[in-house]
Amino acid sequence: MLLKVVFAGPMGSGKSTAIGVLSDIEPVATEAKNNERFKVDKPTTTVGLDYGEILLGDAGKVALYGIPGQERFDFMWPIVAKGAMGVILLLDCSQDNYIEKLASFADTFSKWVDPGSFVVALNRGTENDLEACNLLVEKRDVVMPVFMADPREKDDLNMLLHVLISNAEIRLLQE
Amino acid sequence: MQLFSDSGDVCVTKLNFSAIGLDEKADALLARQLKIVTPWLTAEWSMNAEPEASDFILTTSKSLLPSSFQGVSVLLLEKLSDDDHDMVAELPLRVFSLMDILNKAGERITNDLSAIPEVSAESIVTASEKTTEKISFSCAEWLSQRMLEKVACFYIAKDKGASFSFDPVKKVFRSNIESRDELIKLLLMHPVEHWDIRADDETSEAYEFSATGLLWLLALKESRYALHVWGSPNRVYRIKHWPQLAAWENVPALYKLSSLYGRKAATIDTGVKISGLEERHVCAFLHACNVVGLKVEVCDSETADRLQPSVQSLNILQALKKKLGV
Repeated sequence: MLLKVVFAGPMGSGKSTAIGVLSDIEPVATEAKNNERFKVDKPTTTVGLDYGEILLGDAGKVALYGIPGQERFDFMWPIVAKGAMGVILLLDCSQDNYIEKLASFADTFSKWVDPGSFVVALNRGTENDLEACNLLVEKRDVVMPVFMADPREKDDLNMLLHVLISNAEIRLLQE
Repeated sequence: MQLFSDSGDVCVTKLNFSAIGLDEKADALLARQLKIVTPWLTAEWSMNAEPEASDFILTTSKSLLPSSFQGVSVLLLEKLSDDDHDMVAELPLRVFSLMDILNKAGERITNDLSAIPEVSAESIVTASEKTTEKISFSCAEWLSQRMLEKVACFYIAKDKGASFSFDPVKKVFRSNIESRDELIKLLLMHPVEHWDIRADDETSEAYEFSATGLLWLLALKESRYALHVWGSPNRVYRIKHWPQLAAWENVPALYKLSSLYGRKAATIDTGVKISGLEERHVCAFLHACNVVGLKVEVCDSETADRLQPSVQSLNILQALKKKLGV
């Protein structure tokens, strides 16, 4: 049995880091030289997919996909998101346009996953950032879980997965 | 008196009382009256046939009280005089008088307690009863209103030197109490009407707690009030925002409730089935969401879920939960 969890978010939001923290196998990365250092100052960026796995013994495994954040790779998004248990959107609140990014990703991914399975994780955020994101989501008349979370912290990532599990359980129990 | 269940994790205030000197008919009437007033009582009262083992006694004469009885009693008189004080009631006992007497007695008994029951962080959801909780009053709601009005300093228990104040800029409570659980316990044990409230802050509080986090935990414990306000079987509810469970209270059942009421409008009964919690705790969850401003909507009917292919097996979810330590 295979579960799929997708990590989405703009460049530099911590997708590769999160998969590295959660994965039981050495993550597969497709890093290339970052030609957009004027946007996010890091030497490399993901151009294909990040991939990791949480191994669950006989029960199966959870495949962790990190999709590239740049919109020119958006053709990949529906392919990867198809059949996913949920999507975790990582946002770095220190980036100027993180609210616009939330709107854009939420509108795009709500075509493939229901709002409860689209979890927003705010890194380096304040209560005001949280409030702003909740308001944006509310204006779309959906309820998306929005949390403060650090992609380097396993406890934070476990909590995000816990939300996806709860949603999956509710879906199963209500069928 | 029982403050904890046999399992030790629920601190429900269970009290019992006896009636002495009443005839059989009046005794039977008293039992029926107790049933009627039970939803409005601040403690869980039952009648006890053995006065010696009772927390509280209603008696027609003080001479009838067991010699070993050291507890609280009320004298039932045919006619009250101006000299009579509050622990005297007139016969025949009316329903509202019984309610008033039992609530007063409950408050007096619990205030006499020298030991306050421990409430651990782990049992915060189930330990949602406390000794002075009132069905018609929410300390969490009251505090959230005061927070909107002005900066204030609250002296909860003068004898213990316990105080706290609200910082509207940082949205934190500052207190001289080091532990959040201890502060919540004090808030619950000391009725608001006994607090000393001042506009100026003269204390030097050292410890800070997230205001929303503290209100959330406080509201979760007000399950009697929550049941009274939210416990309508026909109403359906939906939350507009998710609670910050990791920061406030990391209890698995609350994830399920958040998922349920976030996904769709649902009744309390559905919440009970999904979470496995008691009705009053589901109500307390909605009450807590409301207190911290997560916008709880009352809807007309249960809404349909959004369609998304579901995970085919619970086994793998269970395995993942185990792996995550949930």
